[in-house]
Amino acid sequence: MYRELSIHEKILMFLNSMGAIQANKAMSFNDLINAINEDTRIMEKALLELMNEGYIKKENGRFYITEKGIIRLMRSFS
Amino acid sequence: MKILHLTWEYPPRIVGGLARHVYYLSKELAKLGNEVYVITLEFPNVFLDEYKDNLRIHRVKVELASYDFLTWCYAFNHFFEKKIATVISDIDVIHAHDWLVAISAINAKYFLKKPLIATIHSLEIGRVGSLSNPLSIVIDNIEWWLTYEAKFVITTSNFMKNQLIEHFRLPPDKIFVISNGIDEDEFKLEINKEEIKSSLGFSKENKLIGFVGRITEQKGVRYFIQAIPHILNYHKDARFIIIGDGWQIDEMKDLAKKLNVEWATKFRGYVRDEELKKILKSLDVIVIPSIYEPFGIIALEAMVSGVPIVASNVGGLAEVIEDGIDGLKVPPKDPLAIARAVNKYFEDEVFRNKIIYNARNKSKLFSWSKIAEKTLEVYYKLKDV
Repeated sequence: MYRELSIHEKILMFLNSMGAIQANKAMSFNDLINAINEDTRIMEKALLELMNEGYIKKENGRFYITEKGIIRLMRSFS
Repeated sequence: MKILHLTWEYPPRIVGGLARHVYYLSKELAKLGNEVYVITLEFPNVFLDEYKDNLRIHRVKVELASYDFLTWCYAFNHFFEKKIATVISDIDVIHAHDWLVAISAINAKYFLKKPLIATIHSLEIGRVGSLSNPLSIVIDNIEWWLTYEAKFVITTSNFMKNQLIEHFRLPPDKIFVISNGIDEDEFKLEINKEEIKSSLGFSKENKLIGFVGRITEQKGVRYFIQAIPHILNYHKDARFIIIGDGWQIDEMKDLAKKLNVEWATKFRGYVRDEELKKILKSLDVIVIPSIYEPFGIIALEAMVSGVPIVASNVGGLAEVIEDGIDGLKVPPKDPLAIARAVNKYFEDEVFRNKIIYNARNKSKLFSWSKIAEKTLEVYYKLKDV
């Protein structure tokens, strides 16, 4: 049942692993692009979807994972 | 006794059954007069340290960035160790919950020179089905390492005990089965079923059938969705709610669309505990279609809420539920069997009420105070070894 992580999971994973769980530790769009190495338009779409679902938040142009996002991510590993 | 629990999840960080297990167990152990420490991970907008009588919760900040999940696990275990070294001076037993805290737990065993007990709530081989990717192989190895280093291993069902014996070749007398529990009082809420149904977008005439859990292959939600057309054939007023989150959610929404049942099905996503309890009580039937289930705490929650259960005959569910007595069991991956069982509840009111009554009585056997006493007995056995 091996599966590749979706771009949404990659974003959540990166934000969590980098400790971006609060606004003061948020990551920029460029940080995400560099880390995940994904097409800009695909990344923008995924970020928007994650924001609409409440999994991430954007403040001052930077992104961090929310409580809901942390739980969504962790559920893949427990 | 002074007890140290290590866990990656503790309320409000509730990923699965583990958080609730450690929450209630630590609370009950403290009530019994033990001094209990819980070291866990930070969570946004929650105090890092909490003290209540004999119970001390320490939430650890992970002050080191990592690139992937496994490196992050190693990093947070390092910060667990730092916290142990800072706040723990004298302890009788270290109790680790699942592989995620294995590294800090095993290190603590050696630097504190105290015995280690591990509770295995689930295994990677069960969660993913097969060890076919490098991450799963590493996790499986860490799970084995934790059970090897632990003096005793606790698990929540005989199914899990057998899996530990077969998969890790653990000696049977090293393993103790102590089930999960339920706090009946937390489910004693008065609700207006009609109001809740209407707030969810259903009418009071609708029969509401629900699934609660992670939307992953392990939980078998696809078999529930595949059962929906067969239920609707007999009960046009039936409606369906899927509560939970997970990586398969989009695939499951597509499946509902493909089967042309999306009009009757709501995906509610992740809901917080308080809301979940209310929705649970408003269900007419709950379906637990798991293909792997170490225990299945949701079954106890449904029993105590007075909701009749249709569950797969697998794992811990097979042990908790007595078919035709306090629930209905169906073979795993069998949508037709699920539909038949759901329909049976709607076609036989006397049977349905009997099941609800028996299930409520059954749930009383699973009090957290009893579970804490059994766990304490395992701790005391350490002194005999």
